[in-house]
Amino acid sequence: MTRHDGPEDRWFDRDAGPVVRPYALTMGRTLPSGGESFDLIDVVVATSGRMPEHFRPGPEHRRLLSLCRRPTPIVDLTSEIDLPLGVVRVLLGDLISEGLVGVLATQKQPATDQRLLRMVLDGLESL
Amino acid sequence: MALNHSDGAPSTAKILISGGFGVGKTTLVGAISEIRPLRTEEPMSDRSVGIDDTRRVGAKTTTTVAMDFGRISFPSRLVLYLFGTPGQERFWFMWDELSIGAIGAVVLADTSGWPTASPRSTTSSTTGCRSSSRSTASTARPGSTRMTSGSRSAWAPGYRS
Repeated sequence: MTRHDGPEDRWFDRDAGPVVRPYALTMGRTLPSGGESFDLIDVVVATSGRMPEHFRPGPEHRRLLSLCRRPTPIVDLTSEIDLPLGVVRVLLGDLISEGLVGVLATQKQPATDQRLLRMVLDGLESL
Repeated sequence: MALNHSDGAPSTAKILISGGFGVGKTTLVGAISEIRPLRTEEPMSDRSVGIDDTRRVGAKTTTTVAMDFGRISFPSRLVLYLFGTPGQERFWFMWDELSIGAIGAVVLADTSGWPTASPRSTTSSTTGCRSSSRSTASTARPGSTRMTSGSRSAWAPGYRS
């Protein structure tokens, strides 16, 4: 909760939410235009591709691009950029369609991946 | 576009923290996460009266409206994510999204609610957990981590939605 302190109180504070609403950031789209589906823990990374001339990235596109210069899980991106997951998915879809961001291949069957389960078990036991 | 895993990329895994309203899912994620958890706690309003059973959690004034999110990084470049699901029935639709691809789940149940909070029904399967969630109200206090004494947890490898 934000405290309201006298004359500096403004109507566009944290409680009021963002002035630019999420649906405006995605231009009304609720799903990535390329039809991609991302898991929360999929890892994305910026490619070295050049920005296509026809592509007009918004400020959020640019922030996402700079945040995933190193391989980063989508859930960390979402937390960092402080936007709803649905919005991040749509914006990432744009960047992927333009070849600016790639998704690292994720395990299809993580629950039966012995190596992964062993890593998790070893890690938890060493805590 | 799918790339192959390179040396710099972390392996990621996901564990679901689940259980009924007020059993301490948020507390658990907060207790073991290395980052300040991304919480979505909101004050409970008078609209929850008669819907969310707070009789056993007198000090509970906030509730999770979307999900808790915690992270543990291991030296082996493995990053483990913990997702706490909201306990209330009206948010159960989020469970599918959170549970797909999870390598396991921890189901918390409050045994002080015995026999209504039957561990058998809460640990046998997700379905069992869903059906009994409403009755597993809790005494786990905000800020406490009485996981072993106040709650039971079940490790369920191979958990899928």
